[in-house]
Amino acid sequence: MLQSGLWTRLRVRPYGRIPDPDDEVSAIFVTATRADPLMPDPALAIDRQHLAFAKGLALLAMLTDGPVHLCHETGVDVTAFRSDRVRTSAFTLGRPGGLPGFHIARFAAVSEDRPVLQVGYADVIDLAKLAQTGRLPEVTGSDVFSGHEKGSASASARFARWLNASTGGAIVPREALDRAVPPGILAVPLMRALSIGDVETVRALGGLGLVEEDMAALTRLCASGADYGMLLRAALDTLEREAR
Amino acid sequence: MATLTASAAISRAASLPGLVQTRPALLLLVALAAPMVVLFFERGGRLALVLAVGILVAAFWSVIFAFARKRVLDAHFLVAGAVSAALLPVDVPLWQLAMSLSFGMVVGEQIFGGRGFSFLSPAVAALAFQFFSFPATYAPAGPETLAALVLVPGMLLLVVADLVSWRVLVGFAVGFGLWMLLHQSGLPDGSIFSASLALGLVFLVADPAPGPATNSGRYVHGFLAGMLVVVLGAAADGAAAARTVVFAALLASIFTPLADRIAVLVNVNRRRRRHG
Repeated sequence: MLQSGLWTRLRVRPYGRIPDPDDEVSAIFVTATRADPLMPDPALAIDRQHLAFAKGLALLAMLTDGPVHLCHETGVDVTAFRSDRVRTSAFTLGRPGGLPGFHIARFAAVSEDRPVLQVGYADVIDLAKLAQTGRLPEVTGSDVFSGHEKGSASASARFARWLNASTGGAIVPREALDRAVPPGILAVPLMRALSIGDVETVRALGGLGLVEEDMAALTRLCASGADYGMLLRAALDTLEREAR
Repeated sequence: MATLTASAAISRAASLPGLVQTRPALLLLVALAAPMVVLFFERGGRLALVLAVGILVAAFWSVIFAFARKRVLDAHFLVAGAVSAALLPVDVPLWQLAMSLSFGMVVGEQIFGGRGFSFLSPAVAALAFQFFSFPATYAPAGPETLAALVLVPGMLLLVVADLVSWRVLVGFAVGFGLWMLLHQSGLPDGSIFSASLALGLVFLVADPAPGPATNSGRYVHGFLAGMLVVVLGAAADGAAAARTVVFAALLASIFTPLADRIAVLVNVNRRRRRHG
C-alpha cells in the first residue's frame, strides 16, 4: 500500500492526517455514502465490484484489532459484507449524514490514544485490486467526480444563503447550527470555543473527531463570517503540537 | 472624473448590506406587521406616536454604538423598538418610553457588544425597567385576542426560517400547561391569553440572539418561561399580561446560561466516559 501510493488516500483522526504506518488504529470507517446527491452512487460501484469490495474489507480488517464500520446509505443491501469484523450502519444521503465525521461521531470517541481511520469505498476496491495485481487501477477515487454545489441548491438552501449572508456580526445560536454538525457535537459552544481559540474546550467538546469538512456547513450558516474550518485546523495544530 | 465618483458612490450604496444586517430583522418585521395593524385599530392613532418614538430611540443607540465600534449595524433595533411599543399601554408617557428603551438598548444589549453578544433581549431589559420604575403609570389593556391570532402565521414563518426555535415553543407550552394543571388554585384568569403574551412569547422569550445555545437549553428556557408566566400571572391578578410575560422572559433569560452550561458539562462528561 505504501509503495503504490494508496496509503496516502487514508486519513486518520484526530487531526485528519495521512496515518503513520506504525500506529495502531482503534476502528476503521469505510465511507460508502454521499455528502452530495450529485456524487456518483457508491452502491452501483460496490454492486459491480462486490467481490473486490469484500476482499478489500477483509484486508482493511488486518490494519486494526477494532471493528471495521461499513457506513452505507439507507435502502442499500449490504448484508453480504457483514462479518465478525465488519459492522454495517445506514446513513442518510447529503450533509451532514453522508460525511465520515458524522459516522465517526456516532460510534467512536476519538482521542490521541484511540485514533480512527477513514477510507473511501473506492479505495477499498482499489486495495483489493492492488493485492490481486500488484498495481493500482487507472481511474480511481470517488472525489474525482464530486459534483458542484451550485447545481443542487434547493429553494430552501438558497433561502438559507440569503438569510445568513455574512455580515461580521455575532453568532446567533439558531437550531440549524445544531442540525449541521455530527451527532453529540454541541455546535454553538464549539463555535464559541473555536472563535476565542480555547483549544482545551475544543478538545473536550469532541473537536479531535472532526476535520475541516465537518465545519463547512457552520461557516455557511453563521452570519458572523468566521471560517470554522480554518479555526478548527488552527486548534487541531495546536493540540497536535501539545500532544507531542 | 465625475462619473468615477458617481460610480464609487453607487458601489458604496450597493455595499450597504455589508454595513447593515437587515435580513433576519426584516422577517421578524413581516411577522410583526399583522398584529401591529390590528393593534392600531384597537388602540387608536397614538400607537403610531409610541411606535415612532420607540423605533427612533432604539435606532439612536444602535447607530451610535455601531459607529463608535465600527461594527455592522443590526436592523433588529426596528423590532426591539416596535415590540416594546406594542407591549406598553398606548398612553405611556413618551419620556418614560424613551428612558426605558435607552436603558434597554444600552444596558441590555450594547454594553455587551451588540446583538448576539448579550444574554438579554433589549426589549426585555427596556420593559422590565419600565415596569419596575413606573409601576403605576399604566392601565391594563384588554386581551386583544385578534392581534394574538393574526400573529400565528408570522410565528410559523419564523419557525420555518429558524428565527424562532420550536423547542422553545414546545418547552413553553409544556411549562405553561403543566403549571396550570399542578396549581388549580390561584391561576391567572383568561386575560392572560392576550396579544401581549403572544408577542412576548415570539419576540422576547423566543428571541434567538440572546437565547439558549444548546437544544436542551432551548427546552429549559421555554419551560421556565411558560411556568413563570403562570406563577407571575397569578400573582399579578391576571390584569397585566405584558408585565407577566416580560418578567417571565427576564428570569428565564437569566437562568438559561446555567442550563447551557449544564448541557455542556453533561456532553463533556459523556465523552470522557466513552474514552474510558
